[in-house]
Amino acid sequence: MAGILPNHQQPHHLNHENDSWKKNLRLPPKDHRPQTEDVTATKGNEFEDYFLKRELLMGIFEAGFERPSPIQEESIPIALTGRDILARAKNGTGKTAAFVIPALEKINVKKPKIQALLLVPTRELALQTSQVCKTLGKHMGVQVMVTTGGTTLKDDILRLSEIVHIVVGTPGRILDLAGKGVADFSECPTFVMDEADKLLSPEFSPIVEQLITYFPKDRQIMLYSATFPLIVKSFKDKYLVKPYEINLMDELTLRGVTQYYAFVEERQKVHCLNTLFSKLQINQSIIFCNSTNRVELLAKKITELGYSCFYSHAKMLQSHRNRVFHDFRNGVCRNLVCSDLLTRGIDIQAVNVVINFDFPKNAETYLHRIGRSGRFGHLGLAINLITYDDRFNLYKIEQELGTEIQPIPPVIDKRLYVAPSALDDAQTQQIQNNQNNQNINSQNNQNIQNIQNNRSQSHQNHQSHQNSRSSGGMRNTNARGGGMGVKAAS
Amino acid sequence: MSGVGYIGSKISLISKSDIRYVGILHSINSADSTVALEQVRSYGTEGRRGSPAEEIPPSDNIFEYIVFRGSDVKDLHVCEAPAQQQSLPPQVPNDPAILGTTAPRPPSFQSYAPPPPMGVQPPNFAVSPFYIQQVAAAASFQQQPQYWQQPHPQSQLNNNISESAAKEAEQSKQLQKEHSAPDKIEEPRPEKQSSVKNFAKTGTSSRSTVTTNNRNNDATAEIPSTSAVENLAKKVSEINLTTTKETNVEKQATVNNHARPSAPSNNRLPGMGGHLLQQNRRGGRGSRRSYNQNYDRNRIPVPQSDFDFESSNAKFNKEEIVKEVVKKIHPNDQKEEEPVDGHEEEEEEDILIPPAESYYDRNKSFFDNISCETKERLEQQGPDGRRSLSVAERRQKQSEERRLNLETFGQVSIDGGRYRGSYRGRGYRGSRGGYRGSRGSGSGGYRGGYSNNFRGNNYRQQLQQQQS
Repeated sequence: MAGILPNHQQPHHLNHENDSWKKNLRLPPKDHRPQTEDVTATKGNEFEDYFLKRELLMGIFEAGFERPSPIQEESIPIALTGRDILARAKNGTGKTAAFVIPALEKINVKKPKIQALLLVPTRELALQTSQVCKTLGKHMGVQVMVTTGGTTLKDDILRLSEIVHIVVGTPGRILDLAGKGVADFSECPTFVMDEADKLLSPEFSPIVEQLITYFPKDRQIMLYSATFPLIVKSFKDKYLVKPYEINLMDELTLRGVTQYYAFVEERQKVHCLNTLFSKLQINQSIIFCNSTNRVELLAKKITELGYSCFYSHAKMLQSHRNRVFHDFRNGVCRNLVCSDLLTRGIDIQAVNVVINFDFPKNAETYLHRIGRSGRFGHLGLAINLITYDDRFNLYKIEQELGTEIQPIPPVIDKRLYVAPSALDDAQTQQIQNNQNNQNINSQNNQNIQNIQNNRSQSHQNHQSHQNSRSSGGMRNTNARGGGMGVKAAS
Repeated sequence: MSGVGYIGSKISLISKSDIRYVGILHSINSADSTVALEQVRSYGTEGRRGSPAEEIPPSDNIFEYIVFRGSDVKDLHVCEAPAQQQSLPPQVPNDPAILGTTAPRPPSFQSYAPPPPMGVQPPNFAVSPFYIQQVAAAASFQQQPQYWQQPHPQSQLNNNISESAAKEAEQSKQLQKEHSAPDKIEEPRPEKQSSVKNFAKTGTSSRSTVTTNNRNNDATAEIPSTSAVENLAKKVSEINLTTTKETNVEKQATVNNHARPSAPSNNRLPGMGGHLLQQNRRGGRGSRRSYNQNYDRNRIPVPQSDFDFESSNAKFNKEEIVKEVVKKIHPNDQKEEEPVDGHEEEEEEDILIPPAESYYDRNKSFFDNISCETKERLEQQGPDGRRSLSVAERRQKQSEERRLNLETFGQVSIDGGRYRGSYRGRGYRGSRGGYRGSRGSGSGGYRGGYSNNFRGNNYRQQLQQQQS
């Protein structure tokens, strides 16, 4: 399968070349967009190195995964040993697959019991995560159930009368089911919390702590997130046994996301957004507002301006939320206006622009919001509309994240957020102009430079023997291939 | 072309055979002097022939597309009701006014056309109804070219379409012979017809101006036999549709030739932008209309010119914030480094900028200390974790948001404020409070107890606000 793994010829690796079963895989198209070292700085492992079940490997490759991302390299082998894990990696760098793959591997499909619980804080994220499970486990015959609030409890109870191996869901509903004795976790060895800090916030943690009591004493608990405030430490000390800590974050923000601010008066925000729409080459965008009312008001404005837009917020019916999420992900609509409901974990690869129509109040929210673009190491843009009242928050968030949010230049270089394949001649022309334009600041050039370096390196043979995380040693930029879809998002 | 602004409008047309047709105006071809309607329904002669024996009964069928000979069109009306679509096997009546029945719909009328770069439908839809496997869709995004976004006409709202789009449709006519069935099938609404003259009274000026100019230009090229077409053009340019009240007039006038109709015209479900434009959203109450009218008066116009980022950013000096921050922390000190004295003042400030410390250092700790929701709440709650916002504080917060919304959008909320309140109350508050109540329907007692013990009602309401 040299065609799939062109640069994989290191002798120290296990020889996987005789794997004839791979010939029958139905692989998705590759994703040729450049990626940053947030996802490419790997040790050079292969999925085959973990001795995963054949059926699971098939699912992994058919989902477009080619080789494990850094967080997957760190997490999968440890998770397979059954040890508790505390793992920190940036937004959209492959956390979901980092726990779904070991969870699937450990499932015995012949045993008609719940064997893994994947807990997430929002319903949309539950849908997304369960789909990753189904996709990766599609050749295994594993039964995955998703359960969240906003749906009929009775349906869940009926579903649980059949075989379920993996439950994915949100805390309240799962505690309901466990408390009623409908969902039996007594022989469930694996308990994963995605966006763990959110699940351990005061809002959820009492539910989570109750839920743990339904698990066997020797359960494995694994926590994943991009943010881990100190508050999580008490939970760790109380419930985790010698947790293996994985931290792949030298800094908090993604390298591929360029951040700008536009200073506006409140009443100019809609005008400003309208101009952004006409100037930017948006593939898909997510636009955040700070309240439900504002989500609706803005969605209405955008529609009146003649742009297609969906919206979603917590006060909508779940069925409507689901349809919006599903349709937006499938590209039915270009823009999505939402509240912080969709701030975490949502992985839509086509989103290349995030706009904070309202600037968030804290660094955590900001970090997760802008992480909706630049998925899996790709390039993206975050544009913040800043009013005078936001100035201290801007300062605070910059300080806390150790990042710089720059003033938006008159022309934004498309290479900072548009896939090379989408840069047509006219745009290339524009870039030529941009290059003559001194308004491109050094940071941007840096970003472009990085990408170009990465590209050229990708044509070289890899010296992947060493752990090249700090050197930015870029492996094949296509390493994660067309799997962008299901991929490995947090 | 004349009347181009009314493409997409629902038209009632009476042919010389006295048969009345109702359909959506697809195009007017002044060269061939034809009028093309789509989604056409025949209402028969409705007694116009004066003799029961000769009357032609109405037909229940909807015809995808019919081209009428202009000279055979006796009369035209523009209907009030927005276009609805139906899919039924066509059986065209025998009417010499009909030239043909094959033609495509322009892209803007396809009820669920995916936008250009995002077209691939994933293969195994059946596996998960809500959550399609993303691989195909996502891959299609990155491999197909991206486009600049252009405002597009909304067929039911703007009733405006670019000429280029119409031409595109004409060109694709040869290619596309089959029409896919519309996704949404709805019962046709009762026709609310009025004569063109009645509507002319309600017309607004700016719109008419645009189309009238078009008409004058085109009129010179038209040939005499197109009287009906001209008539139509004249009429449609003189009138206005009530629905245009909701649209942005300025923007309409500027819809350009690059307009890329890509939004589903049937976008009125909750969660889709069009839903918010409906007058009787959420069950239609009589009082709603007046809110909308108020809103129309208050609306903030969006300038046509581009927002000037450079000059706007020039008003803001990010470096200045640092000084301000320092002042805030040490209001009485000249020197920046006087932590002891400054400490008390610090706590009174709204925005606390902690002294330079590490918020996150991988080498020092796995955990970070950045600002987050949890911290925010703890601060609001006070040290004992119990204190929550007082009624007054909450009211102040709400009025703050109302003020802000008014400033940004010229409107407090979509439903004019009052309606939203009752909507929330009915749906959620009744069932044990807010967002949480809506979670486990029929859930056990644990949550109630937990809520009462762990935090008060007020906290939950805060939570509800923050969740949104």
